[in-house]
Amino acid sequence: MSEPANRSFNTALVAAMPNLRAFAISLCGNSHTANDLVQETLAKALANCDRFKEGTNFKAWLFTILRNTYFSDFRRGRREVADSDGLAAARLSTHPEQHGHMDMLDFKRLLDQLSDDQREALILVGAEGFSYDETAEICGCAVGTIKSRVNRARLKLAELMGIATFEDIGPELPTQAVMKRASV
Amino acid sequence: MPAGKKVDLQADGGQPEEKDVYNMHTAMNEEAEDVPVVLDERTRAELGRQLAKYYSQLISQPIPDQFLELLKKLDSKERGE
Repeated sequence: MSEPANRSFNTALVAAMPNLRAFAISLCGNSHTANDLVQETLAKALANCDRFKEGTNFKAWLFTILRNTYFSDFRRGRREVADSDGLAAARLSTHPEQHGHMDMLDFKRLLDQLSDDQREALILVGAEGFSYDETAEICGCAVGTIKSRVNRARLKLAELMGIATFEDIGPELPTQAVMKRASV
Repeated sequence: MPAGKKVDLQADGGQPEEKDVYNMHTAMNEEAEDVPVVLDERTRAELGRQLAKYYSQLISQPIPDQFLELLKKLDSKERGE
């Protein structure tokens, strides 16, 4: 790689760090493991910098490396690792809906209840702002699968938060609708 | 997925066919491609707000020392040291 290209590669890598770390924390559930994951991702990106195709989405390329590393090397034992920030240990005694607003810890606990696939898709689309197409490429699956995961993630979060209302259907929870159907 | 049940959900707000109201249990099926319920605009907006708040707090956290070490190495490489 030429010197200017190398420089812009490094600059872009540095610029992406906070986002890579935020995504890693969302996947790992704790910052200690997330830091290791980002470190590994940065090392792989630097080692494979000549494999990045100029003109393609650099951030998406980095996120692809990170999520593949997570699912191949970091996923196992996710729940067993203690949270170095003590976030997971700081249990709240009330449910989010009881005090009308949610802090970061509340929302993190809700995110933790999603499957890895759902949480990943929701973060990439809803927080990182990747398109469904980009997200499908990052995750290596069909666009329809990503749309489905994002929808399911939103549905589950809304139900957990007690704010789920639906278009053209009314404020029924799916479980209630299923029960209603069963009783017909 | 059963034939004839395909619902093309738009990015935000595709309309499910009405009959799918009665098949909502598929939303609980991990492998189902479609979720035949659509959260309303207000709910999606609230979720978006919560997600953005959560994520911006993560992004604004200070960069850990272990990455700063890496940055220093990159810097010195760029200066040709």
